[in-house]
Amino acid sequence: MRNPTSGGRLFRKYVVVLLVLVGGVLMASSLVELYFAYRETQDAILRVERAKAVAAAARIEQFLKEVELQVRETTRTASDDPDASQVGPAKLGFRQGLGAALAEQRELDFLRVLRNVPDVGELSHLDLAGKEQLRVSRLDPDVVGSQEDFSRAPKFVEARAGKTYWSPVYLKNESEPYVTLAVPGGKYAVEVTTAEVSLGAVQKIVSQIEVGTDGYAYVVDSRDQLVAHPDSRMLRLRRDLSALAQVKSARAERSATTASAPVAMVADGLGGGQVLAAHAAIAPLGGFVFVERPAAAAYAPLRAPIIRSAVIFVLGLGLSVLASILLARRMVAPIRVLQEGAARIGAGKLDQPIELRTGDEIEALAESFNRMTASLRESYEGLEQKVEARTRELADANRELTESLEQQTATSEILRVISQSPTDIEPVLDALVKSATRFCGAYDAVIFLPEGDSLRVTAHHGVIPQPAGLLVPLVRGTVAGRSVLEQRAIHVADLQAEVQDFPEGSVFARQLGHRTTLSVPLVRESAAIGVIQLRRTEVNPFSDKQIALLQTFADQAVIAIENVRLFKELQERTQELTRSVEELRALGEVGQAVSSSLDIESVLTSIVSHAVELSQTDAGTIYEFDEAAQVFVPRANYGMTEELIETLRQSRIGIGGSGIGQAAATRAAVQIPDLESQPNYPLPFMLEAGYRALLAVPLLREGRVIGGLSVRRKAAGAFPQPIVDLLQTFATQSVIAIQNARLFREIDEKSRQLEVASKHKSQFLANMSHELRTPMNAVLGYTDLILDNIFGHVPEAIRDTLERVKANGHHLLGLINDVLDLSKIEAGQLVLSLGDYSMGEVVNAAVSAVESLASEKKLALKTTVPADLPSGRGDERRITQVLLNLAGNAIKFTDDGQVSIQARTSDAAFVVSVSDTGPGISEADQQTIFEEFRQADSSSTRKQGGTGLGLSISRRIVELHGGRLWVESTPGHGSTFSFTLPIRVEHQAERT
Amino acid sequence: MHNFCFRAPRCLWVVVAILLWLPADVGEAQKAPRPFRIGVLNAAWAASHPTVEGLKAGLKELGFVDGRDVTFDIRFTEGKLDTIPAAAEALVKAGVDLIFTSQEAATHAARDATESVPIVFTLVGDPVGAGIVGQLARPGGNVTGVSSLQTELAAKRLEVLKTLTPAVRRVWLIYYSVDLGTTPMVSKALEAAQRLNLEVIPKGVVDAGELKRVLREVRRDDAVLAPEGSNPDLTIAIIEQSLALRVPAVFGTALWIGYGGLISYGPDYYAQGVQAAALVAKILRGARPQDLPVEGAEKIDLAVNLKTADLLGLTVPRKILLRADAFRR
Repeated sequence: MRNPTSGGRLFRKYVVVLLVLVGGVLMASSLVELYFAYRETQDAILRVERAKAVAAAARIEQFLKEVELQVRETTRTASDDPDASQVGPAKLGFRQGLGAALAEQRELDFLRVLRNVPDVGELSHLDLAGKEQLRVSRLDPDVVGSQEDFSRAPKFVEARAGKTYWSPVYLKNESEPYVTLAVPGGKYAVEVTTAEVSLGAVQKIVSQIEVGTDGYAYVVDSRDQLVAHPDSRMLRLRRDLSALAQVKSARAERSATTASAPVAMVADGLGGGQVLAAHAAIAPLGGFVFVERPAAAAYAPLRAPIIRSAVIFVLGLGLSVLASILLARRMVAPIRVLQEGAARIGAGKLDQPIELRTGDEIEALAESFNRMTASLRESYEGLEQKVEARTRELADANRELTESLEQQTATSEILRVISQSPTDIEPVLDALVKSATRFCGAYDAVIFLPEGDSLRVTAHHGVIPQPAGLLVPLVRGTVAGRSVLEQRAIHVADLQAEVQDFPEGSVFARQLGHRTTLSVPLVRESAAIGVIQLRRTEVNPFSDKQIALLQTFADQAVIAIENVRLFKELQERTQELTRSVEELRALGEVGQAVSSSLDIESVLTSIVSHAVELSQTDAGTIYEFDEAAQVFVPRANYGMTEELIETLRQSRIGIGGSGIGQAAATRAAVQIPDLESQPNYPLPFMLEAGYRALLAVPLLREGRVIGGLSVRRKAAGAFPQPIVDLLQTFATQSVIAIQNARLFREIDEKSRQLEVASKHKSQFLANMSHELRTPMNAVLGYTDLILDNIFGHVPEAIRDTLERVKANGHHLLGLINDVLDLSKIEAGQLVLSLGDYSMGEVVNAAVSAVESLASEKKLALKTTVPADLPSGRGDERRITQVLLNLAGNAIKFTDDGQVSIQARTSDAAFVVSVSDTGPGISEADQQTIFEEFRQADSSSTRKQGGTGLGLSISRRIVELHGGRLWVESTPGHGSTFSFTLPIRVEHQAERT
Repeated sequence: MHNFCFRAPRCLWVVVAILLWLPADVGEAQKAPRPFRIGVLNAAWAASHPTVEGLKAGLKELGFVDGRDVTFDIRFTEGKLDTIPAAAEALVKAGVDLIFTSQEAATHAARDATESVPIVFTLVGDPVGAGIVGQLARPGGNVTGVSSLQTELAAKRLEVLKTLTPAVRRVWLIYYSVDLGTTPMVSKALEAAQRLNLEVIPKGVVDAGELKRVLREVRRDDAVLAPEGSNPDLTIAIIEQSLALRVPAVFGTALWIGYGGLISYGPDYYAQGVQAAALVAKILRGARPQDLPVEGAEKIDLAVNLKTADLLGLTVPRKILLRADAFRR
């Protein structure tokens, strides 16, 4: 394989090496040159600055020297005699005169200095004691002999020592720099002259120095204070410059006292930013002149050389790139030719030798390549032949494989069609003939299916004309026919020639033009259900493989046909089943309607609607037979218009006439397949409404006609037996429904009558009891009056009688009261008077009431009431009545043993039980004792007395509280009557 | 391979083109700026007032060529003080870059006319006292200039007068009462009078008429300290009266010696103009006036008119002669 990057990589290497050699040298030389240019420029600038600084310093020094000279001039008059400087009364003689003359001279000298040197603002003369003797000022009045003491001032001390003293610089008005000059006077320096010198001139000198466009100069004094700067603001803003590097450096240099030349330097400028700074010392002031230029501006001249160098560098680099490329290409070219030759060999082109004439090792290498190519070519040729033979074998095998694969594909395709088309056979057979034609190498393929004595063309594919649906006789004279009849494959090489063997077949063959014919029967369970036929228009018998393949297709056709047959069968069965299920469901619904609904109309409507639907008719009617009028009255209709129903209702349908009449007459189903063919049909409007067929069944009960059911259909025709049977079933259900309805009607009527009677009874009882009580009270009242001897003394005999009257009267009144209570309850007139009560007190009240009775009968009376029973709400009087009744009953019916009363709570309810050791109550009697006027034992009623209303009333009272009263008893083992009461009863329960 | 061959030269030419174009951009020609316009405002009788001449000379020395770098728009009101404000307004309206004023009235007028155009004043006796600047070192506003040291020199003037005429006992201190800056000067003079054994009588006047009325009271052995200030009429009147009355008078500047004034001690007008030129130059080069401290006049001259001295019968002492910068014979 040819690697396209390998040549490029070598080429790049050459280029890079050459480039590094040439470009590197170029770059190095440019950088060196630039560096030296930079250094030279810097040096030059600094030299210039230095020169300016020196010049400025010189001018400043000159100025100061001039001032100093002028001031010194004034001291020429100074006497060497110390006393001469003293002016004062202490001095006598000529000395005094001399002194005065000297003083006058000095003053004049001072004035001259003021006139000649505008920079001097003030002059003063200090005597040898440091006292000021004269002061002459430009602005202030002159002072003579102020005697101000300056003996300690540096100006005096220094000058007195014989030196010229320059003070540090100070500002007047914050902006004008001044310096004090002190010079010794006379030979022995006994006197001192001082002068205030304005440094405005220095300021001017500094301002006039031009250093490029951005440069500036400034002066600092001996204390590194800024003295002069072109921008006078700086004097105020930044006086102390001792922190600046250039100032420090200058100061250090000066103190080092070495003779080395002052150097310039790069440092931070006064206004910030890098500057090139040079300086020169000002000897008198002990200060320096600094000249600075911003580095950026100073180096501006370097820009042009840099650009120039860069251009030259880039041009040189470009040229070296070009040269490198050219050179590298020259070196790489033969290698490239070799590489291409090798690539050709690699690609198999062995006929082109590598042509290279370089006369060196590369040419030898090319020769070696060429020799290698020749030997390669020879071995290739032998190899090619072998490969060709092997390829042929492989191609054959491959073709077979492809064929069988295609057949497999076709087979599976057909199976897929079969599975996708379970109901329709056409697509399967079409696919089959198509595949058979193709894979068996036939001109066409036909599938025939037997139909009576013929074979019908069901599927066809191919070039030979074959009208679809054509019927071919199923005879041995055709290839297909014989194949079916003999149930085997028939293969005819030239059908046109087989006139003897296949008379009919050969005729067809000549008509249609086919010759070689192959038929394979479609056999299922040893019966031929069709045949598949392949044809060719020339004599070219089918191979065994093709015959076997066709057999496979035939089998598949059988499967498909069988599938469809089975599917259709299944479908029919399913439909039948569905119909049966629907019938059953309808009947079930009707049955449910009959049993669940007492509304006869809706039941009959349900029946007739289901009957119409299931019988697949269009309308239906159920009639009820009116025995009195001997007519059928329509009771329920379905599928009919209101108009038609009304017309039907108006018609008088008797026994005999119409369909239903006939059915009633014959007591059997009657059907009229076509009403039009029925002469004198009594209901012509039905014909007008479009009904043609009618089926009617009578409704019979115990042999009597009670109605009829008829269905009508708009299509004429007989009704099948299942429909008739179905209608019979509906008729039977209609009978039941009508019967049920009649019975319910009767029961309902009776119930209503009973209810009214019961109410009347209760009302009567309530009224009665009330009416009875009034005279009874009168009877008892008068009896009491008599017994109380109100009407005179009552003899013992009468008294005894009267006592009985009174006792029986009271009994009767109790009976009446009970009846009144019961009747009130029955009539719904008893109203509970709800209030808070204590169950314990209820029990106590009952016990105290019945205690005497119990003790009379020597019965033990026990109570069990927990102390923590909650307070209840209910009708206390009525509850006491209930408990009294139960306890009374227990004592009444118990002859020996005990009666116990228990009260407790359970689930927000009181449970109160009264147990006795009486005779007990049988199971059957437990049901009846709660009914009115009943006691467990009629015999004991006689014995025990009582109304038999107590339990009944008690139960009602408990129920009105929302509670329950019941009995548990075993005969011979006593009874327990219990009742529950909700603890808090807020509403009276509805009467149940 | 071929790609590389083509790409390299193309890159190269692009680089070369960029480099060739770069230097052309570096040296961009600078446009010549228009000359600065300096408005001059004073109450002089002519355009060639000494301060203006000094200014021109100073600027020239500092490299500003008249006509090329600077032009002058000179407004002088011929001694009329009431027209100065209008002239100031006119200058501002004319759009001058700087206003150069002389004396208090013009400086006040310029200050009233603009708060933005820089003002450089001259011949202002006491800039702080006159309310023109806040502090000498930090003037504030848009104003700076040269102070003619009227207050500072008050004592020295009395001394000069006393030196020339030792017999004088009483000095009439005449001042233009409109100028606010005279108050400190009067105080300074009164203070110095004691030391010099003189009686100083301050008299504020507004015009020559009032001045003449005041001078009627001048007696023998009296002298006059003539005012410096906005109203030149007063000075002229004092010269006339002093000559007429034979009363010695000391003046603020040598200018008046030429008109017959006896003696003067004070700054030179021309020199003030030169001095102010430096301030003007700084402002024109970008400095802000409020950053430039007010300078005191540098050149203080003593001038004597020997002829007038003769007239007054005075012998000029050696001290004066020695000190004097100028004489008029």
